Amino acid sequence: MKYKYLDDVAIADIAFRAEGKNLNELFETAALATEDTMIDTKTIKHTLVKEIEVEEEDIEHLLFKFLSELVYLKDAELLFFSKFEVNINGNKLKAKLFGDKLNDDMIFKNDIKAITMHMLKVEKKEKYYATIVLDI
Amino acid sequence: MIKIDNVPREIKKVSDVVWEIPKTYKREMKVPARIYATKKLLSEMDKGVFDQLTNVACLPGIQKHAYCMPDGHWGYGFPIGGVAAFDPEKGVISPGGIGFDINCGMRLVTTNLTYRDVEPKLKPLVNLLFEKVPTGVGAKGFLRINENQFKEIMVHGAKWCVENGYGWKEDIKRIEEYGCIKGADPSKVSEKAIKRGLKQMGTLGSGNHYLEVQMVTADNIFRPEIARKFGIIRPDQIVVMVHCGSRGFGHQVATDYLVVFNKVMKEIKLDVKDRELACAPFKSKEGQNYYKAMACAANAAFVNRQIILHRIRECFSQIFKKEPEDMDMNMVYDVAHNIAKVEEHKIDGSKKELVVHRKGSTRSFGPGHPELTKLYRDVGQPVILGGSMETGSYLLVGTESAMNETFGSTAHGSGRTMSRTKAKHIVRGDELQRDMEKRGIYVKAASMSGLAEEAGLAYKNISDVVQTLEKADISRSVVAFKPIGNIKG
Repeated sequence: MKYKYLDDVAIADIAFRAEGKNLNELFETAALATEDTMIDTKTIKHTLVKEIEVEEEDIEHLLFKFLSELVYLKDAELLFFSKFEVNINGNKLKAKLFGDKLNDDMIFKNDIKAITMHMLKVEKKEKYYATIVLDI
Repeated sequence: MIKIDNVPREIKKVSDVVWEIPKTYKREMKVPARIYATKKLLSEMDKGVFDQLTNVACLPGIQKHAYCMPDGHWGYGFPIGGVAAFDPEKGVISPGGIGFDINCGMRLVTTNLTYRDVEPKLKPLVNLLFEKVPTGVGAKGFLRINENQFKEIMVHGAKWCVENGYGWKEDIKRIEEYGCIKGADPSKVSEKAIKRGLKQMGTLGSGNHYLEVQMVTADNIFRPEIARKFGIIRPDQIVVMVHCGSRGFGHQVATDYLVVFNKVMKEIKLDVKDRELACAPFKSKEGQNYYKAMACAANAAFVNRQIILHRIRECFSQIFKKEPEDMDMNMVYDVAHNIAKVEEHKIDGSKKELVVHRKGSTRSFGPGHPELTKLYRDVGQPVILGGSMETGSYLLVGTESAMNETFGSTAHGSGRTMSRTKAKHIVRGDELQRDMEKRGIYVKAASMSGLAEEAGLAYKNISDVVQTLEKADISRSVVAFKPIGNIKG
């Protein structure tokens, strides 16, 4: 699971670059980076599993919608996750999210307002890479 | 031509505080781009500002110039501090020109208490505010409403609060658009947006949102007559400032329509430089649907800040054992700084309706404007500039020049100059909290890393921003406030 927060991009917000050896792993890493921006993921226990399905017309929009779903679940159901099993098939994604409902043991960092589409690109080099800017 | 690293070589000086990037800078530019800044602020602006602002200048139907205010910095799509007005017939509406936090804004409340009254009780006051105005992630407001009531909020805005006992009748006059943007249609917002926002009315959020107890000092009253008009009557007077927006509800509305607009653009073959500049013709079905949904979110934001004001009045009442009315806890004004609105402005001498986008920019209507409440019509609109939690904030007033130059727009804060990630490398939240307390500023925060990200060193000098606004005469400073207590998400 490799991701790095970027120092000099969109300075009022938070940006990260994630990588993965395949698309599934890239999405899992990006999901972890997103959650870790909100809550110290080491403080999230796995007491429940949420299954979600997302469909979009291209891989960038699929990533946008998948991560936006995590932001939605944060507000609507107060759910946070620290382990992900993503299965992408063409333009469709199925994911299992492992986490817990918000509780006092969790260390809070930042509330994410939204996933942005700024600079959003999934690149394939020796691995898969994506840069995501989060609106804080 | 001037030579400053980061600044495009083609930039021309219009005046000491206005700079212009000509239309020739990018082939698709429809209008030049103008930046309001002193030479110092211009040199400190990041490269992204110039690129993003000139991208905005490429959008269909844009009028006169794409503007960036002196607190401007790199955002997504539009820069923060961006202003752009579009022809409603030929032009577009863009969620990226408003921001995800629809109607993020500022609210300022006076008291007749002085520093001497408040200082001994500052800690219990800030602790109580922190308890009663929920902050951070997962925060739930005390307001229990069902979906139908939430839809009433979307349509009626701040009036709903007054009708339901969460405010004074007088408050409504002191809110931009009287607390209700017309045209809101709840059928244009998703079920998801409602689910995200339903329990969040009366919550602050996180990031740069705050509630601050501030004080006036004698040397910080610059225009005493106007200050008096706004309710700032003496040195050492205590005021309360709030910065927050439409919470998850508005964020989801923007997220939903970003996807819709990306699809529209593909259909109508409109190519923009950044997906965050996604837009749709204002008069198209999608454009109108977004405007109606945006109005819902904007009205919810007015309600959110109104509920917070209600809580502030309760907290002061509990601590100081007086009725809020007896403490003159009047609202000065509430301004929206992430919004698109249909406004009338002069273009080449004749009046025209325009869709004005302000993203990190405040309306700055001058004296005599018919949209202004009679209370302030002779002096101009109060403009609230939120500074960093360490340095302070400003109250200014709108001008006639702003009407002529920037579609009645000005800055919204001091503007960041350092990324959150970088600030965290330099500052530790707990150390900053202790250090600020030594300097007489008591802070309560839901997140220590979030606090570090908001350190004063991550922001521009707000005096430089105000100096630019004064020199360009797009607003005039009235009072500056010093922070003494702060709650943060």
